[in-house]
Amino acid sequence: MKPSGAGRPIPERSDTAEAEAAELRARLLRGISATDRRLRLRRALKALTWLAPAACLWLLATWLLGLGAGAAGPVAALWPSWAGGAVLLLLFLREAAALGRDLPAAARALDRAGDLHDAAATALEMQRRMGEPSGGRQGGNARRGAVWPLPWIALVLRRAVAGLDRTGPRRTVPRLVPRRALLSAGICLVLLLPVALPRSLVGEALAAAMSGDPAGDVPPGFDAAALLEDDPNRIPGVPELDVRLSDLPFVTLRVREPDAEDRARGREATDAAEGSLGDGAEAETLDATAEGGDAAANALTDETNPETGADLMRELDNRAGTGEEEKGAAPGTEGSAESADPGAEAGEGDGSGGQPTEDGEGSGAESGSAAALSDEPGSSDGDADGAAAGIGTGPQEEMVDPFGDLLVPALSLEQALETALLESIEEIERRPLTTTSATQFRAAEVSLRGTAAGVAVEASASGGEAPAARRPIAWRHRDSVRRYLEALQAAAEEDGE
Amino acid sequence: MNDTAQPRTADDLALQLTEFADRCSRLRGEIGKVIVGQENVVDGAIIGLLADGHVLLEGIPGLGKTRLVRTLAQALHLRFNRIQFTPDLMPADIVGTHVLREDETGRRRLVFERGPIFANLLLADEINRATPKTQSALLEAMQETTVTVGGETNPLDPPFFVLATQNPLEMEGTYPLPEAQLDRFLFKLRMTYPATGDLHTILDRTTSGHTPEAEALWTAEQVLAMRRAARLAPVARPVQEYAIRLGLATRPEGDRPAEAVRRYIRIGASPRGIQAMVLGAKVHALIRGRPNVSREDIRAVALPALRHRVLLNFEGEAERVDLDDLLQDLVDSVPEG
Repeated sequence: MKPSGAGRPIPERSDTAEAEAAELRARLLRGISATDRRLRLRRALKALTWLAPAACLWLLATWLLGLGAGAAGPVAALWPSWAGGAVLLLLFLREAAALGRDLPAAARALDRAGDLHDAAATALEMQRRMGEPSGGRQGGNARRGAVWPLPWIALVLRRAVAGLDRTGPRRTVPRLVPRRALLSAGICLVLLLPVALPRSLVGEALAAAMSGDPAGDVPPGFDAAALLEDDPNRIPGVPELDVRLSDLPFVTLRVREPDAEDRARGREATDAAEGSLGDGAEAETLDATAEGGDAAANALTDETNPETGADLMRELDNRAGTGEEEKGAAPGTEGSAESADPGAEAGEGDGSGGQPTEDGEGSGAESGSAAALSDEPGSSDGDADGAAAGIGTGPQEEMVDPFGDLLVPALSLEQALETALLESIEEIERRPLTTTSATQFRAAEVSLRGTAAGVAVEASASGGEAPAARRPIAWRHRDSVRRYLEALQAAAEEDGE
Repeated sequence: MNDTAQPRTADDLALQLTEFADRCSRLRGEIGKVIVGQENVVDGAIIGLLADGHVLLEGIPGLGKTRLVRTLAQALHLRFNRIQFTPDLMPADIVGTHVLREDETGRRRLVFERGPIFANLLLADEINRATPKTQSALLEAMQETTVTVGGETNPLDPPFFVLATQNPLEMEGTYPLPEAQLDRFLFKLRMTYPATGDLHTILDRTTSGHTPEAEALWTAEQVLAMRRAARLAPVARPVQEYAIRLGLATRPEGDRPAEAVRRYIRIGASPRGIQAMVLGAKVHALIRGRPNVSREDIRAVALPALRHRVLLNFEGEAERVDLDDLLQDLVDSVPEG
């Protein structure tokens, strides 16, 4: 294609044409700027329709997190809120940046609305080029585009301005408020409603939701965090209890190091037992030791915390001791019966040997049981300490968990399976377990290994009755449950033989 | 439109543009006396003429291709020649040849005898029935508007406008035009069967005693002036970007091509194809009385400007993909920006 007409002289500008073009440019810019403002306003309102609900959601989340953090955690627990806030801020900045002046877009909108066939866009480019030093005609910079003669520029400007006057910003952007504005406002109201409600009302519901129990079912004074703090399993080498396993108000025992006084008392108890034997008493040495320690423990717990300590020991006696009265090797009713006779003095003396824990439960039981089995090594420091406090003899390493042999019969295999909602051990891979059953089995297993006597008390004290099912637990706890059930099965088989 | 006067003011220009549109309208009316229907083809031919390009008309025999070109020639006051392309046609039959001629003194010398290509309006009838060698004889004339024979270059008189007709390639005895030759055509227009109503009119006009004739309206100078005016029509940068996007969208190796393009197209539109779109859009805008080009003008000329520059690959040919449908999908899908 040959370029015809190329190189022909272009007519010079006249003053009149220049003035007319300048006026047209000004009018064009005013019109397009007005449209641009209206477009930006509409864009901003449109952005608000999703930014406002997002901000309200963030506000609500922050408020709820604040409630939770105030009750049970540090301020650092609010980090999701800070992160969410930062994301929200970035989105806001992005929207704000998009609200910059965009005259070509406004011209395009005018062209569409007024059916101007790109006259406004062309005129806008023309007026911009006229503002350049080359005046849009000289072609000083070839990359900037073609050279347009002034009559063409003036004509395009004139038509564009006429179309712009005919159309106008209001016709171009007839509706400022987006259609979703009402919906957005409704969502904002819903999201802000909890914040506006009385704090106590929301706080109770939140506390109930966080505990996993319906409102009102949480035992008074229950504090899961405190349980975790006092978790006796936080010992190197001892598996740590899952938070969900600690989500029950079970009894926690803490065994402390025996002091000199404990040892002295333990020594007195031993002496008393030996002395009664030396005085010609009919009781056998081993029984007397057991009786003395047991009686001492009973005496202590009765004195210190008669309700919990005595009840617990009685329950343990009923379960573990009654069946072995004839053997006389285990503490229980036999021991307590004899304590009134030759071991009475020892009971007086040993009573201070067992030290109550903070809640006063079980310390007497530990010392009493340890006295009965003092010739076996203990498996952990805590247990050994407790045993040492009870009888005051032997190295700590030789002490054992006093509940070890008491817990095994706490649940029969059938009871355990029933608690876990299982028909067989193999079914453990298919059926959901509950927090409660897992807690119980886990505690029992730990107790069997002599590592967490405190936890074991709950399992034994529950009497093998399955508490109400709660949430499903993690699969990793199934190994513990399986081990426990298998241990029960092995014990049942041994008994059968 | 005054042949030589340049508009000095916007009012002058507006008058000239009005006259431009009126002339085109009258020409369409004059052609319409003879050619019934086919408005798009007539418009395409006029746009091709005023955009300083050449037009390829495709259609089965009997649709009035030749008659359309003859009518256009009648309405234009231009020197018109017709070449019927046949398989035995030689290049010299088109461009001319040196012949031995005796002067008054009896001396014999070689004189260049101009071929039929030396005309303002050339009808290359059934161009694809000639061999590629003969077809290529038109290349220089169409691109450079010169003819070189025996080392001597002869310019063609402006305006030079080639209107070629071809039968669909599936027909027997046809040679496909080389890509280089195809690219020389600004537009490729497809003639379709006339509607039933139009057929009545055609029969009435052609089977009665009176055969209508077109009246000559435009002179060569007027055509040249209108060509110059058309080139001055401003195209805003966003509109130009749209044309470029449209052209690039036809390339299978482009940035994220459409699935159909990637699958069926072998060669996309060349820069000359985008030039053709913009030039055609300028004339299209002026014909409608607008001084500036819009995206609608680009869209209106996109298919004629691209359909012969975009080539199907083997898979596209095998599956008989309709290139017009594919291009129309592209035109519809490319964002206006």
